[in-house]
Amino acid sequence: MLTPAAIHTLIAQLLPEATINIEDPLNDGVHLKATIISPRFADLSRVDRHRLIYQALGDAFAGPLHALQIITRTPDEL
Amino acid sequence: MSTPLAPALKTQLDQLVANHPVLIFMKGDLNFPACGFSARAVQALKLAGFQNIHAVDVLADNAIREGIKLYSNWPTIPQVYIRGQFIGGSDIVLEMLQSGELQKLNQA
Repeated sequence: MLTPAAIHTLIAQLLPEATINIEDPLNDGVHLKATIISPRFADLSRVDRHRLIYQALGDAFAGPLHALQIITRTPDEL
Repeated sequence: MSTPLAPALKTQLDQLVANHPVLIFMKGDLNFPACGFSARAVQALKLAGFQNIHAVDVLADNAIREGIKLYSNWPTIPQVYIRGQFIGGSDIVLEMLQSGELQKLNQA
């Protein structure tokens, strides 16, 4: 398992400027939701934004992470 | 994820992408998705009006399940391709449904 705190830490390491919120909406510790707000997303497509988050998470999806909803926004998109 | 994509598998995936204008790699099939993310992606495509959706059940073929992650440089399932272009996973198709972009892709 990757805890919400661990996910937060991994993303913050790559995107220190970002506002990051990791939720556990079902309170099951499995189906998590990450909302990441960063001006760095402004020039990136949706696919490239997500790839950046996947890069931050490393190979977590190969093992301990099963279900993560990812929402990416720039401050202007809020 | 570190092993390269085998040429035969790459050819197989190239052909799937080329042959199916509306293609989803998912867990389960269109009528019985085996994962919430796959179910939501299928639903988004249907709500956007896409017909003749071709689904590849990655649970039925582990080589494709792992290969498509390398092929698309995308570590999760589902994955949607429209007219040969990688669109993204369930979060992205849902955002594009909400914004109307997915419907426009269907009408393009």
